[in-house]
Amino acid sequence: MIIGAKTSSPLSPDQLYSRCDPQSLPFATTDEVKNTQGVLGQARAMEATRFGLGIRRPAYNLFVHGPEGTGRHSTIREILDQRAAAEPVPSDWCLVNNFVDAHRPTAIELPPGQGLRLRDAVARLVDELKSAIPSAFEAEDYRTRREAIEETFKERQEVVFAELQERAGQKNITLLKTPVGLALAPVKGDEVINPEAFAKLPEAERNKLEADLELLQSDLQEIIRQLPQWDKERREDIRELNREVTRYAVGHLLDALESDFKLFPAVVNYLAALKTDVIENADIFIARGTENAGQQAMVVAAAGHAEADLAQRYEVNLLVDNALCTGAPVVYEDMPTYANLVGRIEHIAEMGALITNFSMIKGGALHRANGGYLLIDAYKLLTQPYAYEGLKRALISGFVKIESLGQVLSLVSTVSLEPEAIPLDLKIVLIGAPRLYYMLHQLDPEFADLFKVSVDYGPDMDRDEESTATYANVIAGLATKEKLKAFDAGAVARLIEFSAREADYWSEKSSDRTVTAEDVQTAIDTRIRRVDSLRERSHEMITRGIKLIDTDGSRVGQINALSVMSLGGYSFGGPSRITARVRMGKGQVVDIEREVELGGPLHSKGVLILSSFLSGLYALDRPLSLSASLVFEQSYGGIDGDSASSAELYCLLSALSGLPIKQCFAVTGSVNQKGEVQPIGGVNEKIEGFFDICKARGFSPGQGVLIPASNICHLMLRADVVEACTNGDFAIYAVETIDQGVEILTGVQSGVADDKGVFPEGTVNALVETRLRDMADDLRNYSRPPESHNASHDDSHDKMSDGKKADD
Amino acid sequence: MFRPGKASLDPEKPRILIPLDTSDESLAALKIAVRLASRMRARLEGLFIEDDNLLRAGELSCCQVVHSVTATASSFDRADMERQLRLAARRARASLVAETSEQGLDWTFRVDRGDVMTRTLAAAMDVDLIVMGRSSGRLGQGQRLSSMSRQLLQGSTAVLVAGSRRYHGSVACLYDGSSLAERALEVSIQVSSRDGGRLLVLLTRSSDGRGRVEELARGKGLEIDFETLPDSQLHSLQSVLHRVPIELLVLPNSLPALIETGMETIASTFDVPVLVIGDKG
Repeated sequence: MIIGAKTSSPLSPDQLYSRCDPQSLPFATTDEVKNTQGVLGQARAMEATRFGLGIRRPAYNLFVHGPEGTGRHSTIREILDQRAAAEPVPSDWCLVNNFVDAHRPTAIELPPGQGLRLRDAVARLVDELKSAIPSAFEAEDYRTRREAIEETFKERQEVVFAELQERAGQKNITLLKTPVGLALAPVKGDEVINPEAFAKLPEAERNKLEADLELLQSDLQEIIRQLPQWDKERREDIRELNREVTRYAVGHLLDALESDFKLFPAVVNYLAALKTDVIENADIFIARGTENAGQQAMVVAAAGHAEADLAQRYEVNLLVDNALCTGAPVVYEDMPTYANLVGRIEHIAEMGALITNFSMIKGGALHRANGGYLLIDAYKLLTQPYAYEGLKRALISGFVKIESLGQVLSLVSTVSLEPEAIPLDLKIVLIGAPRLYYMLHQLDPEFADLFKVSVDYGPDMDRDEESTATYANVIAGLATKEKLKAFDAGAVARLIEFSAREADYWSEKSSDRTVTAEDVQTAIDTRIRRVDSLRERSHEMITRGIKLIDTDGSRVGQINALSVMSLGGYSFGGPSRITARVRMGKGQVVDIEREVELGGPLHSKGVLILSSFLSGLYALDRPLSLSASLVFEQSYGGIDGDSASSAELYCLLSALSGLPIKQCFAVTGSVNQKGEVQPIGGVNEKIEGFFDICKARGFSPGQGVLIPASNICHLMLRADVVEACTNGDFAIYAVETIDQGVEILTGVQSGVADDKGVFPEGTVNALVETRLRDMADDLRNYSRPPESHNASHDDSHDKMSDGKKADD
Repeated sequence: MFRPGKASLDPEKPRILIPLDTSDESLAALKIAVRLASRMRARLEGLFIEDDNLLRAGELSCCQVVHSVTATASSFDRADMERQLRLAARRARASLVAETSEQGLDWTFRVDRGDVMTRTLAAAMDVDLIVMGRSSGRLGQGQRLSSMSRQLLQGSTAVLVAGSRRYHGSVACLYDGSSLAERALEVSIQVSSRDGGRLLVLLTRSSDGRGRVEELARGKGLEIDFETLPDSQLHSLQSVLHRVPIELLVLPNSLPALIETGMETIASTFDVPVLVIGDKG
C-alpha cells in the first residue's frame, strides 16, 4: 500500500523577490541627496580605520582587506584625503654633496617650500661664481702676483744654475743639456775638449779636472734634488694666492646666502662647507673660461666636463618638495617596485662606464608620502621582487635609505653612493584580499608587529532603512563624480550590483532627464545578453535533446540536480541528471565522479554522508548491505561542492524504494547525516536555469524547484520567474528535511517511525528499510555455509561463492 | 737633409725657420710659428741640431749625465748620445708633423750637426723669419740666445721670440716712421688681416704715421686702434701693453729700447711673442 503525501505548498510570489519600494526612499531623485558621502555597511571597517589612523605611532599601519568591489580603495582614499587635508604639511628634504665624503651625500630637512628656495638660491650662487671667480683670476692684480711667484721660482733656479755655471766656467768646465738630463764637461774655449786633447793634458791637470767635475756634478745633483721641493713651494704659493683671491670673490656672495638661511643650522653648515670647497677647488670655475691653445675640441669637451663638475658638486637635489602641498600627502603607489618605494640611484653611461653622483638620486614613494599616508596594493607589493622586504626594513628601522638592490643583496661590490638615511614618519595602508592578510599573518612573524590594524571589509551588509539611505548616498555620489544624470528613486531601488554608468547609457538613449528603474533594468538585461552566450549554448543542448534532461514524467533512480557555472564574472545555473543504481553489497555508496577523479573533495564528502544517513536511519540493527553507485550523467568536466548531495540522496532513496521521482522538479541543497537540508550558494541562478529550460520547452503542470528553506532569504528571482510562479506555471518549494523533499518528489509520504522504530507501511522510509533489510538477509544467507542453503538459493550461492573467492 | 712635407714647395712662399729640440720652450715656439705661418701662408722649416759638444762629451770617460727627474748620475758614451739625439730628432719631427697637419702647411725638417749657435745662424741666413723659443734660464742659455738674436738681427733676419703663454687680443706694432717700422707695419697688417682682427699701432710722439697706417691698412677689413707713446722707452711700452691684451708685438729693429735691452728681455717683460723686423724681414 502506497500512502500519498499531503500536498506541500510552494513559496508565495512575495517570498521569491525582496522588492525595494521606491516609495520608501526619502527622495525623488539623487539630486535631492545632499550628503553624497557614505560607506555601505562597513561599520566594523570604519571603526578600525578610525582607530588605525588615530594612533600616530610607528607600526600602527593598516591592512585593509575584503572582497573586490566592496569599495576598499575609494573609501579609504576618501577618508585619508579628508584626514590629511587637516594635517600639517611635512618637511622638504634635500640631498647635498658631502664635501668630506662624497660617497655619503648629506640629507637636509627644511620646512615646506624652503627646499625649493635653497635649491634655486644655490643654483643662482653657482651662476654668479661662474663669472665672479674667473673675473677675479683674470684681474691684473692676480696675474701680476702669480707671475711674481713664477718669476721668483725661475730666478731661484737661474741663480743656482748661473752660479754653478760660473763656478764651472772658472774651472774650464761647461754645463750641457742632453736629451735626458744635464752633463758637465771640460772645455777649451767654447767647445768641449776632445778625448785626444784631454789625454794629452798633464796628469795633474787631468786629475784636477776630474776632481772638479766630480765636485760640480755632486753640486748639480744637489740642485736637481732641490728642484721638486722648490716647485712644490711654488705650487703651494700659487694655491694660497688662489685661495685668497677666491675667498675674496665668493665671500660676500656666500655671506648673503648664509644670512638668508641663518634660521636653518643644517643649511648654514652646508654653506660653510660649500665655501671651503669652492675656495679649495676654484680651478673648476676657472677651467670653464680658460682656452687650451690650439685644441678647440678639447676645450669644448673640457668646458662640458667643467659644467658637469659644477652641477654634480654644488647642486641641491630636492628629493621631496612639499611647497605646493596643502596638507599631509596621500600617495598611492600604483607600481610598488623596490626602487619606486625606497628610491633609486640612477646612472649615466660615459665612455663605456656607468657613473653616478648624488644629483642622480631619486626619491621613492616612501619619501613622497613621508609625514602622510602611503597606499599600496598588497598583491602588487608582494609580486614585486624585494619590495615587501624593502618596505619592512624601512618601517622597522624608522628610516628610508636609498640603496640599489645590488647593494642590498651584495650582488655588486663597486663603489656607489650611500645617501644619508631619512627618518620615516608615515602610515602605510595596504589593501588586499583577506587571504593575503591571513597568509602574511601566518607566514611572516614581522607582519603582525608592523601592521597592527586590520580593517575588515565585509562581503555583504544588512538591508535596512539606514543602509538603503547610505546606498542612495553612494549612488548620488557616483552620479555626481561620474557626471551622470540623477537616478530616480525607482532606479536606486533597482540598482543592486550593476554599474550606474551602464544605466546612464540607456538613459541617454531615452529622453528622460533622470535614470529610471527601466533604464537600470535595461542595463541589467543587456549586460546579461552580452555575456550569456555560454548559457544559451548550454541550455540549447538540453532543449535540443543532446543533453538528456527530463522535465516531465517520473523515473526511478533519476533526478534533476542543479549546478552553477561561473565564468568571467557571470554565473548561470542549469540542470544535470543524476542517476543511482543499488544492489546487494557491503554498505558502499560509490561516487563514480570520484572514481574517475572528476569529483572534488566536497562532492565526495557529500556522497559519503549519504552512507551515514542510510545507516543511521535504516540499518541501526543490521549491516548496511547495499552497494550503490551515483553518477552525474553527461558530465565531462570536474564537479565539486555538496549542493547536489540532497538530490543524490533523493535519487538513492528512489532507487531503493522503487518509487519514481517526478522529473518536473529539479533539486538543490546539501544534506547532513540527520537528513536536514542545508543552504547552498547561487540559489537564484539555479532556479532560473531550470526555469529557462522549462519555459523553452513550454511549461507543463507541476514544474518547479526544491530549495533549502534556509535559502529563502537569498531569493531575488528574475521578474519572469516570479511572474510564472504567480501564474502557477512554476513553483519553488522550500524544504527543511529529506522527508519533506522526498514526499514532494515522489508524491508518497516519507513516513515517521513509531515508538518501536517501525515506519508506516507503504511510506518511502518503510520501502527503503524493507529493501535494505532484504539485502541484509540475502547477504546473510549467502554468507552461510553451503549445506545450510536452501535449494532456491543454489544459483545465488554459486555467484556469492565466486564473489567471496574474488574478495579473498 | 730636407724632408719636404708636400710634394711641391712653392719658392715664392715666405720661409720660417723653427729650430727644434724636445723642450717645452721649443714646443711653445713651434705653436707660435705654426700660427704665424698659417697667417703668412709661409713654409715652416724645422731644424734639429745635434750638438757636437754633447758627442764629444760622450767620448770623455770622466763625463756623466745627471738625470733631471731622478738626480742620479750615469755614464754615457758617444754611441749613447747619438742614439739619444736621434730619438730627440724623431720626437721633434713628430711634433712638427702634428702641429702642421691640421693647418695644411708646407713644412720641411732637417737634422744638422755642429755647434748649435753656429748652425742656427747659418740656417737663418736663408729664411725670412726665425722663431726662437724662450730660454728657460736654467742653463744660462739666455745669454747665448741674446747673443744669437743680436747676431741674427745684424744679419737682417726677422726674429720672433716666443712668449711663454698665449694671449688673445690685437697684434701690436710700434711705428716710429722708420723704414724698418714701415716694414714692421706691413707684416703686422698681413698677420692681423688674415683673421679680420684688430691691430694696435703704437705711435711714437715723433712720428705722425696715422695717415700712413690707414693707407696701408685700407681694404684689409681691419679694426685699427692707435696709442701714442711719450717715447720709445721700454717703460712706455709697458704702460700700454699692461692695459691692452695683445697676442704679438711687432717691433722694428731700429728701436733704441730694443737695442739697449735685447729682445729676450722685452719678450720676458711682456710675456708675449716679440717679432723683431730686421732689414731683410
